[in-house]
Amino acid sequence: MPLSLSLAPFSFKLSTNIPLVNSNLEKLYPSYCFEEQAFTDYFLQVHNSGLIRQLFRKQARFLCDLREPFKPLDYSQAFAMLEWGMNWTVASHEMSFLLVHSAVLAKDGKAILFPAPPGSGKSTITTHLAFNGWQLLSDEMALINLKTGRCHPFVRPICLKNNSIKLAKKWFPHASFSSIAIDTHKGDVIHVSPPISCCDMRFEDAEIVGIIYPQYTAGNILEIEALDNSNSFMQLSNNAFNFTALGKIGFDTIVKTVEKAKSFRVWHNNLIDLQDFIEEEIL
Amino acid sequence: MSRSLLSQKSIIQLYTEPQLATSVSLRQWESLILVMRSEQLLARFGYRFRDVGVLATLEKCVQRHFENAITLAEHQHTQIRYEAEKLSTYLKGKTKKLVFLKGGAYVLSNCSASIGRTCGDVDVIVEKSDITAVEKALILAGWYHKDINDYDDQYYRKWAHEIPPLTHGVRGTVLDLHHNLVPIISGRMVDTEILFRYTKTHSHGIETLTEPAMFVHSSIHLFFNEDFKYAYRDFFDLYLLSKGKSSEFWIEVINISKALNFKSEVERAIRYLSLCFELKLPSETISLFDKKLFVFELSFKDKVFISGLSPKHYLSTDFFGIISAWLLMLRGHFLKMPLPILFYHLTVKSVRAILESVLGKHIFTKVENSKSIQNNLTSKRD
Repeated sequence: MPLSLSLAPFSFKLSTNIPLVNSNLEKLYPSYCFEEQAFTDYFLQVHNSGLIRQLFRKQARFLCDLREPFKPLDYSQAFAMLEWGMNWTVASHEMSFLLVHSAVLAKDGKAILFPAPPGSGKSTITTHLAFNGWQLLSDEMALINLKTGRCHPFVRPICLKNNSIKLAKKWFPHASFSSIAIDTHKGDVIHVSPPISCCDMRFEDAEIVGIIYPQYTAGNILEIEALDNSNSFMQLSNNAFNFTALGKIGFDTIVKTVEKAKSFRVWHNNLIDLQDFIEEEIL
Repeated sequence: MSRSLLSQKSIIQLYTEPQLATSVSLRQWESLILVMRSEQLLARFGYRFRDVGVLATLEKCVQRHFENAITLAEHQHTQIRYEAEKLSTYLKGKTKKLVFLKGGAYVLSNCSASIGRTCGDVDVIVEKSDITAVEKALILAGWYHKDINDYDDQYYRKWAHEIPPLTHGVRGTVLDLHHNLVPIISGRMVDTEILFRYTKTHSHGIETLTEPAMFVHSSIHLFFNEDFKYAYRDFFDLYLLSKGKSSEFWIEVINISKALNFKSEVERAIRYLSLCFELKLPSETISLFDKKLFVFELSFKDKVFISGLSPKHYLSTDFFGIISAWLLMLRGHFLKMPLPILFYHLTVKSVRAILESVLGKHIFTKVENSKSIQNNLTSKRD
């Protein structure tokens, strides 16, 4: 029996024969996610590779209906593969939002985007803010409404990599963590469930007031550089999954977003200072 | 849900009578959307429902999937037009003829089969004597051949009707460069001099076949072939190309099919269009065709073909569908290759696959030397 996964605004059905996937889902997703839904957007599968590969060096495969976008991964990475597979599914089908590769957090209905490549410390910032009273909209993907320009939540577990795993476990020992997927293309990876308050706000969109392009840096400094609109436009469009497919409306949405929000490039190390800066200067 | 709503007939009916969409339940839409997406028909139905005003009455979640598909198809059409303008301008003077084929040509000629048509690559045909010059020119302009082994390269160049596909280094577009409509090895090549009489020039000097010639080519592509993966979509193309056409269109279709010596493929198309889409030819043209085309009784062969022209998604197909696909694949191979060569080809392919898996991937890869690197810069391989 496939499992229902209602992850507003999208709904999935998942069939899997890998126990690790089931146990992580139960640990990380609140129970309302598993309720039966009236309509399923995407049918997913995470299965082990058949025949001989069940016996040695077991593999996990991801399928979205009949399409298999990735090569198999190691069996122990099956849950991470499902999370990435869901991101792929949304990014390659959904055109009703402008989709930006970005973390989004909000306070009092005002959202900040953190578009950044892996290694920039984006997920560490996300975890820090989500566990300090901010609303997590997404760790991976900003869903920007093409008409209103507001950002919709797509609340999912936060994906932490390498050194940040240890930090997050130290800072928030009571949070729900997934099993570790070792040695993926992003290094060691773990998923952590956001506080339940974030899940409760899964239908509440937010106005984008700031865009921060973070870069983690060694040394205890916080350097901030204001970005002009054209510069911010270029970076935001480079991070948008469906920018070219959306054509003019995608272009207009990015222009409006950039014009409304303040943009900064930030070299950070101290999360408290970064949070102070955002709360005092942008909100 | 029952398979009945996902059958070839029901989905066709949903296209010809789109008002039926209002009585489809949410659970039925789940499966229908899966099948339509996998058959590459989601955008086509999206336009259909939108044009008759049904789309807006459907549930929001259902609407969204059709609108997503429409957006993606529109974007692809923009890309195809851009690519065609670039190619036509760039190759002007480098080849006598450059004619766009199949999905790309539907889009470029803006004919009825362009509606919601998506395609994985751009297909063009040039005269055989121009193909080397065109290939070299394209490589200079940033197109390259993806990794392909010596045997496959030789297969293309000796037996096929096209050279190995070219990919654009920046834009990623895939281009299939043909010099004939069917493989050389089949012994059924068309005379391109005749084919090129039936072309039409559009803006920016872009050339496609005329609509009757497109119908003939699409029939050949569908029935003189072993690959029925997207046959259901291609069948819809034929329907859209032929719907409501006058007797001049059909007379031209007959003439072209005779001139190219592919009359039976066209007749097959007409037979199945009449049976499945209830296509009605203008009464004055019916006498031009064999009466047997319009007999309702189905032979086993008909059943196999109709099954091949049905959705392949597992929600929609059955055991007979799987058997049919297999029979049609065998038939297509026999049509295209004389038996000894087919046997040789399949043996080489399987032996090489076994040896590569046992002895390593590069057992057949030739060692690179400076001379071949230099050749790569100037000629065929990337």
